[in-house]
Amino acid sequence: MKTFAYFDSTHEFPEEIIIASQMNPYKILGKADFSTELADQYIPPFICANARSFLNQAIEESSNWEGIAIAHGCDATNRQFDIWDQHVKTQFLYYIHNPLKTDGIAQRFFIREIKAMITALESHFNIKISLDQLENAIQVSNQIKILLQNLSKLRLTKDISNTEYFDVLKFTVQNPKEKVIPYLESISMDWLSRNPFPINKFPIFLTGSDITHSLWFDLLEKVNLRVVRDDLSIGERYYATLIPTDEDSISNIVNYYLNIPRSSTKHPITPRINYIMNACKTEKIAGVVSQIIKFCETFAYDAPFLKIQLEAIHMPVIHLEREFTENIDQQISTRLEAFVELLEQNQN
Amino acid sequence: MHTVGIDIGSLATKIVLMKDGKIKALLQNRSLHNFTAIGTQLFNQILKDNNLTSDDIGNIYSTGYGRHSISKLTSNIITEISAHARGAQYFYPKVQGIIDIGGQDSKVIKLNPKSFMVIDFQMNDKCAAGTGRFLEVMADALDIPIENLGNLALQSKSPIQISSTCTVFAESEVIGHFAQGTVKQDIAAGIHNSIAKRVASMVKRIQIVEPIVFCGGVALNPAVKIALENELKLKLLVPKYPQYIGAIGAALIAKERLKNGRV
Repeated sequence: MKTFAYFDSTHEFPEEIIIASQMNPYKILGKADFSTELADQYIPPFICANARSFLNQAIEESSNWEGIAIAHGCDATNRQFDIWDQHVKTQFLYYIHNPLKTDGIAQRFFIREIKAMITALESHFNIKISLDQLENAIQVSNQIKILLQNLSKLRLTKDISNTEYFDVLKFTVQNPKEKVIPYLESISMDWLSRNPFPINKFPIFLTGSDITHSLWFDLLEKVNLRVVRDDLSIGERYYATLIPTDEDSISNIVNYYLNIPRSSTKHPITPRINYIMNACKTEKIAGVVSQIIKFCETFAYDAPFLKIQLEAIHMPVIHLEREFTENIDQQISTRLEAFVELLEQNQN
Repeated sequence: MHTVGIDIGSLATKIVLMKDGKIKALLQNRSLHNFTAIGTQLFNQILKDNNLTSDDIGNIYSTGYGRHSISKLTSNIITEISAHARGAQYFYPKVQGIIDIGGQDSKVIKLNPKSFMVIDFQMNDKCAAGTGRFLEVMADALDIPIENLGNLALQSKSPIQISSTCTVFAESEVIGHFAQGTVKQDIAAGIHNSIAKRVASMVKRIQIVEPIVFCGGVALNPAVKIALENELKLKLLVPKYPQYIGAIGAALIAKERLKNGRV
């Protein structure tokens, strides 16, 4: 199966269109070795390192992909399209605009955008994306989301490490969906047979910038913080809601993407905060870890508001700014360990 | 019962021997490059100085930047946040807030007014501005010993403004002021005001209230205390042995955990 890559700093890219066009939607998450050297020539170091890492991977690997689409995940992404256009070798580079709002006008705008992308794909790849194919793609996507929802619930009751959860999500957004479904089914069997949630771990909600490497999940694990809920794009944002099936396929896709858990890149802040608060109120969560990768400022702007809301319900929260590196910063580790000591103190 | 707290900081390692919760001995040395070696060396020395053997020590806790480096020696570790909170309470039981400025990091800790437990904290970002390292770089730029920097600042009549965001830029600014003929006293005062501004922003973020303990090696510098008090418009309490507060806290936690059957 041919691979079609996409650069999406949240979960905005309608991958169902790519599934319907019989290609594998591959989410670009950067190289495993954190390299950004090639991209550093074109994007200055005060821009989010994730974005530089994605560009680095695209420069090196774009020949493996049939084409690349960029979604308007955040404004930084928007401004980088021209850089990709200049420096990434690909036969097909497409930018899809995602609306900021979710009202009727935004809905009509996004329908038009999706139709334009379908037309562009049909024209370039000489294919026809039928409504039946779109409906099938929605079914596949929903099947995957249901499997992930069920797996996610097991995080609260079973011994599932942070990295295992991340690896499942990463596999899901980078591999052909016909491989993903049996993979998730086998993982489900495995996780169901696991030991109960370990008593020495603190269940936490993880929010903030997207995490593209397992290293950060390992660090949380090491200090006994277990992620049981999150609102990350390589996380719950991807599967928390299902694509509706009550209207025509394109409207259903649009309604889905306008109603998923919101990122801080989309104003207003309220839906994002409500999602976190609701999880904290309904699940057994000991604390919230809010983290941003350096220069991912929109999450930093939200941090004080989030802290106030969480403190009002006596939910401990820590906000951290991390570097994009394979070396764990001792100061970050100290802060997380101190946060765990604070949770231990609350427990006693 | 004896307990030991070892605070392995980025610049200095401090060790405290306590007996039944009272300070019996304190020692410190530069941390240099081998945290394990310096921690072990100070531990052996404090035992020798006090005619003790390791069997006499009920519990040993380490804290600080290199706290994980001496796991063979210690029974457990504790972060600098918890250690400083406990250590400050040893001298001032009703403390509500703590400002600790060490060699590589600075932190502000907020305590619950009723339970006196840690409820919030802030640490500086990965940056030397607002830390002891900043003062060291500035003392080098002024070509004076670090010990003299505080007293020099106190002689200033007209402090200059210096960037509080970056040590490298601040050093360039200092050199620029030299070129303009600014006297060292005014530059030194500007340096202290700069560090105070940086730390005050962390204090304001979590809004700690008096009584506030100021500790860490930098608390030995009277000019930083005055600059912070002026910036925050409140009084700071500097305990005896401010640079040992983390080690004292670690030794006290070691004692309390042992008493509760936990190592």
